[in-house]
Amino acid sequence: MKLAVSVLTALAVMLASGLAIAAQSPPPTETVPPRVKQILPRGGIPAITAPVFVKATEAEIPSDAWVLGVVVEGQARAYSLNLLNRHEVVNDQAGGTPFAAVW
Amino acid sequence: MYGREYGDRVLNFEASGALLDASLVMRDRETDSWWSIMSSDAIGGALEGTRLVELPGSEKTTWGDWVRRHPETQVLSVDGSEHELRNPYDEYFRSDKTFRDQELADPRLAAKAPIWSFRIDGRPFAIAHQAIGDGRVLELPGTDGEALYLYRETGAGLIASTRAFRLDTAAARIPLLSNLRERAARGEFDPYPGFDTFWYSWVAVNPDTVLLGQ
Repeated sequence: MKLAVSVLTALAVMLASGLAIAAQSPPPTETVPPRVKQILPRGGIPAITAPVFVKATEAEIPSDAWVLGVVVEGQARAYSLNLLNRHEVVNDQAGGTPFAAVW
Repeated sequence: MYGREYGDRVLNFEASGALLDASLVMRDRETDSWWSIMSSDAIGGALEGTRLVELPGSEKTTWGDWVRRHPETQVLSVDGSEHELRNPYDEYFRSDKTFRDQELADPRLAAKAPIWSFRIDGRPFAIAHQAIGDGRVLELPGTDGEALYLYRETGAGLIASTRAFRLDTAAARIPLLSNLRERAARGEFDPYPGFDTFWYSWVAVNPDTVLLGQ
């Protein structure tokens, strides 16, 4: 649903941490696709590539909190949407199936 | 939810920091290609033209609902936390303002009208949440009587995912929606991939969208 607005979070995080927020231009040799605008440096919203999980009984999360839930190869996973705001993409794998959970 | 296997590679995606109109563009670390969520393909780089593999079966719901149905679920933990209380997007979801003042490209619906969007053989389709109501069967154009069954949980809120299932010809003839919902809940139908978004964001990238259910 949001799919677009995580740059706001990244911006807030960067401001809070005192980092420069000037959008980093891609290298001059790189061709940016038509109508695409670089708003934040690449990596400003760090994706998760080695996700860590806990059991449901160990998770501290309110029952009315929104999650993205998936079932892949019989394995159920839940990702808190508020947590995903900072990461946008989780590169995950279940069984032999690599998949990306995207918010 | 997207597959990560393309050709003989397993890709790792990340947010690019760039936007296509007002929507997310990802890049992969292996080929540096650019991937648009709204166009559902690579729009630049070595893999340009490759379609994203959309996997069905993901849903946005509350933790209470999810864990009741999937008590064995694993939960993502980042730096020891499974959740964060702050949500900077509350206001965006409540307001009728578009992101970065993106203009509405197509007035068939209001800019912030919530929709469920999907593709058939790459062709873009959308239906407004309002038109889905408690449940709706949509015949799929260009098929031999196949249909989609869509429903939204009553009172589930804007963020909750639309549930979508592909019906074969026989199942599509069943007129009782309540029966279809029970059968869907029992896992009798295959989920169909698509996602919920706002109209302005989808139609900016997909101007030829077929709007159903109006």
